[in-house]
Amino acid sequence: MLFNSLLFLIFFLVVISAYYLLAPKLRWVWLLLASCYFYMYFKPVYILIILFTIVVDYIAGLLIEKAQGSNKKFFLLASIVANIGVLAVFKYFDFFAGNFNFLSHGFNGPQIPLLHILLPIGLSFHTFQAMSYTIEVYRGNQKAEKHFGIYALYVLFYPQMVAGPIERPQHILPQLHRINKFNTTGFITGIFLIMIGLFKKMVIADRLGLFVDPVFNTPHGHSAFDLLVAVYFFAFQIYCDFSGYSDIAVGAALTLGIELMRNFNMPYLSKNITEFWQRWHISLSTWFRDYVYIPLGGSRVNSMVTCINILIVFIISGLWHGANWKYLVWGLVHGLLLIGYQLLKKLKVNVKGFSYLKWILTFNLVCLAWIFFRANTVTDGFFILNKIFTLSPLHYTAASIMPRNEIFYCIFIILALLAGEWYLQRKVQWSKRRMLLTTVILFIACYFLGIFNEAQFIYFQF
Amino acid sequence: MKKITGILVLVFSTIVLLMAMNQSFINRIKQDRYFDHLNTDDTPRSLYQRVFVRSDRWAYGDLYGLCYLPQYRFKLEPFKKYNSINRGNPQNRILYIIGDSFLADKTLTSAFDGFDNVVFLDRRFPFGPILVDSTKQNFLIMEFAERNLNGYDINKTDEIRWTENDIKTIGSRSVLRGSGALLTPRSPNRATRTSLINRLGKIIFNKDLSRNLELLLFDDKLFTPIKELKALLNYNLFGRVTKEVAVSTDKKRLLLNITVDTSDIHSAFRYKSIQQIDTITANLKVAKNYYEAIGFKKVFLSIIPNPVSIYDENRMPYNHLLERVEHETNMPIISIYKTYKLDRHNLYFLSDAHWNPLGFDIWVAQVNKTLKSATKKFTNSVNQ
Repeated sequence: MLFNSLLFLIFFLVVISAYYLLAPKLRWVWLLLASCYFYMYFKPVYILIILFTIVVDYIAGLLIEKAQGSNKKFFLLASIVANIGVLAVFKYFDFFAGNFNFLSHGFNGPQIPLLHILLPIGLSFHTFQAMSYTIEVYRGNQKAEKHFGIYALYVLFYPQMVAGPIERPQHILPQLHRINKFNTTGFITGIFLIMIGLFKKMVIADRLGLFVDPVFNTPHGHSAFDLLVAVYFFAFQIYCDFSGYSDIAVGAALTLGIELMRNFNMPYLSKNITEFWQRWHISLSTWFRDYVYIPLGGSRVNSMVTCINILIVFIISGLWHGANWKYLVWGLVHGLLLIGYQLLKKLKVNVKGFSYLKWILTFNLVCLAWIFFRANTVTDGFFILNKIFTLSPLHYTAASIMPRNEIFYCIFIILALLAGEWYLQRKVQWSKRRMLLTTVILFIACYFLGIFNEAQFIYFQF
Repeated sequence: MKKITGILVLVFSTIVLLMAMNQSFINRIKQDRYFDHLNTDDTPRSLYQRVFVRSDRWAYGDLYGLCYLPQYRFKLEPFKKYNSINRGNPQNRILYIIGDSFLADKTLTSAFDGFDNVVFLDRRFPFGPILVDSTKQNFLIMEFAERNLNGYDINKTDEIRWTENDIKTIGSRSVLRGSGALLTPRSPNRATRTSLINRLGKIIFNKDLSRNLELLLFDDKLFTPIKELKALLNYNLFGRVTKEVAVSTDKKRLLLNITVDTSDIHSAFRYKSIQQIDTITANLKVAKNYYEAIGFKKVFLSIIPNPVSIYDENRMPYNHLLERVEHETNMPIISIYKTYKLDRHNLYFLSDAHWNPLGFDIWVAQVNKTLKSATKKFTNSVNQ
């Protein structure tokens, strides 16, 4: 089910009203059923995959807590293998088999039959959330959850199961146990956040998508200028699409009295690449930091190993996004940028001041990396990059896709977004009346300026 | 107070959701809304009609109903009633027409001269094999909107795919017999094999739920001014209309976007190679041979031009699909393309993808002329 669909509106009303009308003891059952329906609406049978990981991790959690010494590690490994195994089969098998077949074909070697499985929606998100549970139980930061239903809800909780934020058990499980009374302020804040998310998605991201998609799909037919505009637009399309989803998720959870973690913090205002990763998809970057980077040694080892660790993390992060070489290249580019930045820091090359220049440089480097993320293939990515740097031809040729006045309108809404977010950050306390008024204004803007094509959120595919 | 509000919200949203899941109910509403503007009698409206049939989108044409641009809100003129000749005397002739939306809601039975019965089969809804009445002369017109020639293949239709076993399973109910009254739109294979769980799954996880909800909640006269304002704003600011619709170059009419957008197979401006034209004509020939084999005396082809092919063909390089198919095929043709091109009247609704009464009248006259000559020739050859 898509957040930007009419079905979600009705689903939300049914879920929220029944949730507060039901006896507190039954609320988790209701939320679990609603979450199952939410997920099954995409493809009912895929609930079995999640059910498998839920059962495995639930049992693993209990066993890890009881076990001592090497047994503890064994149960954790078993849980991780099961989770990674699911990812390997459903997400990565065809990619690796396809590449193997390509190489093998060159030597007349054997061919592995491809599975051609439709990727279960949000698989990487809920698998990572499930893994964080067993790891935290293993580390002793979280007690094993005894209540199977609550644990299932931890993995399946509908606002964030499909595209995050990837939560930690310490943060969510206690909230799922808690009995939440209806809180007007929380409810209005939730609706306000949902509307902000919908505005980002329907008014900005989907409008930018009208230009970005056709240009990236046929890069050979466009000028350097068209491609450059498409790259910058994509940077904001993906930001509004994904942060819009996160806002809706956080808002929907808040209406139920559950607080989710913040996933974005104005990432395009970062002044270096490290800062960017502290502000972009925070739940995933902290996941990699806590469960991959630090266990590998983090920055406590020598510089060479630190660089290798960074590369490993970013290559995995790239592959996490999708089983495709282009995501790997995107991850690699970010890894190299981060290594470059770390080396400059180590060499104490620290230019004081010039914060605007640092911001512009960081933003442009991030945009360049996005080329590989959005291009259909790595070859297309290099083609776009090459064409942009040759600056030829440097005039607008995509008027049939988007007229100039709409391009200016897009630039205007991007600037309005940045200003709005900056203002939202400064204004810590919002009165209920102000939030309601803004919600109404955003609703009107969504209706009149939004794109109503129920476009899927970009991160759903991961 | 909060509790009462909660209960009201729950009851309302649950009822709406359950109604949206009931696809047959939704289909009924859709159909009633579609034909509502044709209903001119003054009988009081039932409660069902007052609650659920309050949409005016179809009254102004299907394309208006998709884009809501107020400058294209034109009332559709009604089609005239025909009185064919020779209906009183048995002619022992039946005319079958397999067609599409151009003929779907027209009263065809009295439009054509010299036939005891006229049977219309809508290609958009699957039907089984036709069992012609061998004691009569059966004629067939295969009517296609120009865009629908693309991808037509009789071997992919239920007419061919239904096996003998399928036909036995469903008996005579689903097979169109000579009198031409009974049809079952669903394939028997699917109907018998669908389990209860699957059916329940299709209801609960109905993929059209959002569309159905939109139909239930917002397809109402009440919202038309707001929808028009939104459409006008987006059109004037960005030149954008809904993706299903395009505005003609002279801005006088709305067009179906699939007939314009070159990325769509149905586009009149998408290049068609000689091989592609050959494939279309070969597929038509296969269909013709099939129909002749099952007992039709003569099979005619009639292609209705896309409105864009008549009024906006210079928009981009036109692929001349209709003319090329008519030229290449060896089927007898009932052609209206040249007549339409020469006629100075408006032959299509300005806010609808279909012809207007005048356009339809020209086609009826052309069909009658062709059939008269064909039946005469046929009778002469039989007598000789």
